[in-house]
Amino acid sequence: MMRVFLLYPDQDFDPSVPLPPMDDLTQDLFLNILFQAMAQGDRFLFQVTRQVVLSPLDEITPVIYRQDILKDCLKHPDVVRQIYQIPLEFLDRKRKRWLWVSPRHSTPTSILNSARELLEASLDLLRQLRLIADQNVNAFESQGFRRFFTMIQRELDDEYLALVERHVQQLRFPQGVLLSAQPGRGNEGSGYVLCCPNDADRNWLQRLFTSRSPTYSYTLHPRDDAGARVLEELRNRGLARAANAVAQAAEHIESFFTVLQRELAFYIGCLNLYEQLMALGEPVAFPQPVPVNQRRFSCTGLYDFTLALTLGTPVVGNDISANGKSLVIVTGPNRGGKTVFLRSVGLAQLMMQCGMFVPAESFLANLATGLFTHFKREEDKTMESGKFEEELKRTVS
Amino acid sequence: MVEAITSPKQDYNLKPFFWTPLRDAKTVRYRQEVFQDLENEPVMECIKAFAEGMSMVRRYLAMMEKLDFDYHRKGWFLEAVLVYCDAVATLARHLDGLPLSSRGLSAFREYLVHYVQSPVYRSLATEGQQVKSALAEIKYCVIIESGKFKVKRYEIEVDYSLEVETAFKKFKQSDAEDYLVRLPERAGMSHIEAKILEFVARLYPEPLAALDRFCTEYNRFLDETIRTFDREIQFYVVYLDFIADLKRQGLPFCYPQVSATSKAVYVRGGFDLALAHAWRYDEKAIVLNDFSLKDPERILVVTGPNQGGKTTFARLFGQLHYLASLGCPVPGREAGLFLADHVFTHFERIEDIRNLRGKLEDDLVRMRDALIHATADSIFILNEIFSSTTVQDALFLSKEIMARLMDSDILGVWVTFLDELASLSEKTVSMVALVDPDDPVRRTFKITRKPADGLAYALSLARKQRLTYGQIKERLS
Repeated sequence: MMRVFLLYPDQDFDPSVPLPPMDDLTQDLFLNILFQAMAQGDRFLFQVTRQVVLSPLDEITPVIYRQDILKDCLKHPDVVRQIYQIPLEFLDRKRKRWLWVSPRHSTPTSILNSARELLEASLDLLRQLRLIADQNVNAFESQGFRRFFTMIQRELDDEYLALVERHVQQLRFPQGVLLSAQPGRGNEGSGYVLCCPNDADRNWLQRLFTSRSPTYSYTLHPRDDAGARVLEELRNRGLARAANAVAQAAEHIESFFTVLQRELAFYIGCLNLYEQLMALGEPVAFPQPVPVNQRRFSCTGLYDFTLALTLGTPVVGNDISANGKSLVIVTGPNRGGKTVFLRSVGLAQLMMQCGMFVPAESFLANLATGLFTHFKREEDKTMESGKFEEELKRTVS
Repeated sequence: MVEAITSPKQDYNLKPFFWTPLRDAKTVRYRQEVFQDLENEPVMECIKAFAEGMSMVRRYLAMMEKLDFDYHRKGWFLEAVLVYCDAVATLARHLDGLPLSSRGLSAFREYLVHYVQSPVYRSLATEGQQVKSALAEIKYCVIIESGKFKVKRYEIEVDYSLEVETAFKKFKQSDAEDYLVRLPERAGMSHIEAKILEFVARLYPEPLAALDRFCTEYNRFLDETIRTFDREIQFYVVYLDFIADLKRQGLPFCYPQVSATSKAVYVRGGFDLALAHAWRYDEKAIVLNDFSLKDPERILVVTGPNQGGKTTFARLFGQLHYLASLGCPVPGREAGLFLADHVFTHFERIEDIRNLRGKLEDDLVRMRDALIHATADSIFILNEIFSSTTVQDALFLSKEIMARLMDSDILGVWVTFLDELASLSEKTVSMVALVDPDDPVRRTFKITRKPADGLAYALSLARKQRLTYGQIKERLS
């Protein structure tokens, strides 16, 4: 089976799961700056990274799984971007060539033709994917990518690619549409089934037996419109099931490309962010997650990268060691960087929990099952509640 | 009513059965037995299943006549035979296990059992099956190109759709949409399909030659007795279907005692079937009525208020006798009825401009004709005759006719406003349509045996409004 599994070791990322309300978190941690930095103006990337970042993991294994994949991505950014181009190219062709599977109410012939064109458009992209897998299976180290490449090599082997090509050819029916049928009630033809013409390379024994049977042929009078209609109808009758199969096949291929595009989009976003931080000369580190039930928190050089990105210069980092503590109280003069520090902690925690690198020289913390923030806000403009009441409300929710 | 009863099964031409009353008590009882057997649900079900099969056979055979291509025709002939054999065998098998008490159905079952064991039937059934399975084994290929096609034997070519499905299954991430176009079943045969069939016959000559032989040999395969049974049994089926709804509503039906000699007749809980049928979807309750005539009583004279159910009662009397003479279960709880040679009726009609007669004259002419043809075994139902003349004339004429009827010992009902007729002799019995004693305006639609008290409906209305002669006089004084 062709499963992508680049976000989880054993399942697809489900984009339809509704996110919990995280407006406060997004606002307090300036998450939109993070999403914009990852998306670089691409709406699809923005949407996917937002979805993934706002669905944090709370177990070590999947976090490490993503970290490993991300490390491979940082090492081979060009290869990963190349793979990401493949589903993009497919969707692009689909849009440019007006390829879509005709809906149910059209004739089987037109469903089949439209679906076949879509299959045809995917053929060289599948070959390309296979080539990338062949070239890189040994260079990548993560379990996720190795599994992905091996799966591509196994499922899209030469034999299979040749088979797909043969189907694409055969579905043009160069030798006519071959239907098998039986006399039904009243000797009316029934049970029309589209068949594959027997290969010429069948063994000689079979050919010896079959070649004796005669073939009768009939050519319609050029003006026999009624006859042509009947013939067309028989053809459609025979093609109905095959059209369904081909259309579903085209849909399966498209769905594979869609999943691939979605799961890679997250890593592309990470790459984008990484490249921007590198350009600023800021460090990043892969954090060390600790199980939820422990109280660990220590870091060196932890900085608020939203500030760095906004200012366009490196910012001051902080070192903390608070292992075994469950509460840290920050005090100090106004405009001393307390809020910025708080935000850098929140961002690093969230990024760790979705498998990303963090803006620090090193970072170690326990995973958490929830992340809640309470930052100062402007007074409620609707004037419905006072400042204090508003703060209480936010705390409760 | 006959129209309503027979209309669901028009192709059986059942009306003649309903227009032919019987005079023979034995035959009536014979039919009553069959009816009683059919009231047993399982018996009815297997008869209906059989009828469906037979009607399919007829449909196939009729359709066959209109087909253009030989093997197409013969193919449908074979289908008809197969359905027929199956319907007959199924009926024989089902009837075998069911308790039948009627002579009619028992005899038919015996016939059927013999028939399905007869060589004629058995060879028809087995050969039909053989021909069919030989045809079903044929498998051919049509290769369609633009403007032409080829036909060849099937040579184990593989199902291509399956191949495609298997080949691309690996990409499946979730269930795909359904793109299967469901083309409507095609019926009939065009010249293209006929041509294909012709080629198939050349590729597989043997099974089609067998079909040829079969069609010639069993050209007339329908058994005459079974065909007759199929039609006649529908007489019972349609009637039972017709009354089934009414029975479910709780209206009573019974098998009357019938006699061609005794004119002592009675009904308990009788009702007008036509009215009940017309009201079958309404909430209105049907009023049940009784009557009985013991020797020497012969004529029921019905008086009472207008709209009090007199006409319905008269119709009920005639209807029950007529239905009984067909052998049908009649609408009532219990009944003993006379098998008349003819039921003469006289209901008011719309005046017919063509006969250029006045109403009175018309009444007289119709009565004269009826009396000429009537015998002692006839039944008369007279409804408001001579209403267009003066009371004195009507009374005179009515008495004359009553005398004739009594002379001939004729059985009947006479609805009239002339109270005097009710007590003419020991042969007449007075029945009165009742009104509610507390509220004379309300009719009860109950017709009861009691002396005609002359309390016409108009008077009762007047009394209610305190406008009788006495009441007015009292008020004025």
